[in-house]
Amino acid sequence: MTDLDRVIHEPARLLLVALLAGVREADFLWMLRESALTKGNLSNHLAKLEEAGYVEVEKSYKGKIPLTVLRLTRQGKTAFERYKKTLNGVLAKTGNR
Amino acid sequence: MPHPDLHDIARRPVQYWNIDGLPELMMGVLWIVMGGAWLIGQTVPHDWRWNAYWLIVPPTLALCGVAAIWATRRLKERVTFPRAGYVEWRQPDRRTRFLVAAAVVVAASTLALLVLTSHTRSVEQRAPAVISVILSLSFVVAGLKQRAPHYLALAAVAVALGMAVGSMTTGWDSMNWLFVALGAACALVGAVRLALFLRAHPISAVEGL
Repeated sequence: MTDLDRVIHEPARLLLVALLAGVREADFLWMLRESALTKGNLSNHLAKLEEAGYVEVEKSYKGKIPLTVLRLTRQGKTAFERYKKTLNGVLAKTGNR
Repeated sequence: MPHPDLHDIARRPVQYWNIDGLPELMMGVLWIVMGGAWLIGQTVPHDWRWNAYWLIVPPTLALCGVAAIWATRRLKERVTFPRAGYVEWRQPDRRTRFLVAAAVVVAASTLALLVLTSHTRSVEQRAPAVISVILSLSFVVAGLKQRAPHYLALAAVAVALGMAVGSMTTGWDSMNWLFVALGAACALVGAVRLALFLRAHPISAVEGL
């Protein structure tokens, strides 16, 4: 279990990374709707993912409305792929016991 | 928070494409236009008007297909994204593109072989039934992959319309009527889903990080 990436392993962050892995980019509103997290919670988790270099955050305005676009970085994609591989390995090992 | 199901999450972006009924609405309108244009073409007098009509209409219809995709995307930007969030979908990878292209080539070759080896009359008579089954299967696959029950309902409608139209008219006209009728059904389903989406998702001012 120690091989699992702790940043991604947290369920809320895993959900966010998995959602972003399926799209090229998405905005804060879509992530909020799909994750069913609160605004504060979502912001906190995204900040942690950004700090780890897994998520890129681009802030701009569309008219007068602020627009926050999020995308997974290359590092984030690699980390997510590695996480899935490790998790599958762990599950296979426990299944064999 | 329970551990998320990664397979379910992987399906969400595709499901989001169909959340608002716009793809069904646009597809329905496109089929009505295509079937309608072909039906109108049969009534054009066989002189210079016939030539002009069939010179202009087929390329215009091909452009309509491209325009429908463009229009769906623009409508989503105006209607869906401000209400439920913006998403830029991933382009299919090389393997998927190759498989889709191969499937199209196989289907087109099979159809061409069928037309060349069969008597024209029997092909004309069977075309609506075959097309309705193919469309129905496509709806079933889309419905199961995207977990969208309304596609399964459309699959049943496609078969029912294929049988109904086939029993009333024959020849290529019946296929055109099938497209018009199925297009109307798709457009209706899309319009209802769009109305429900607009009611359930008022424009949100939620933003920020």
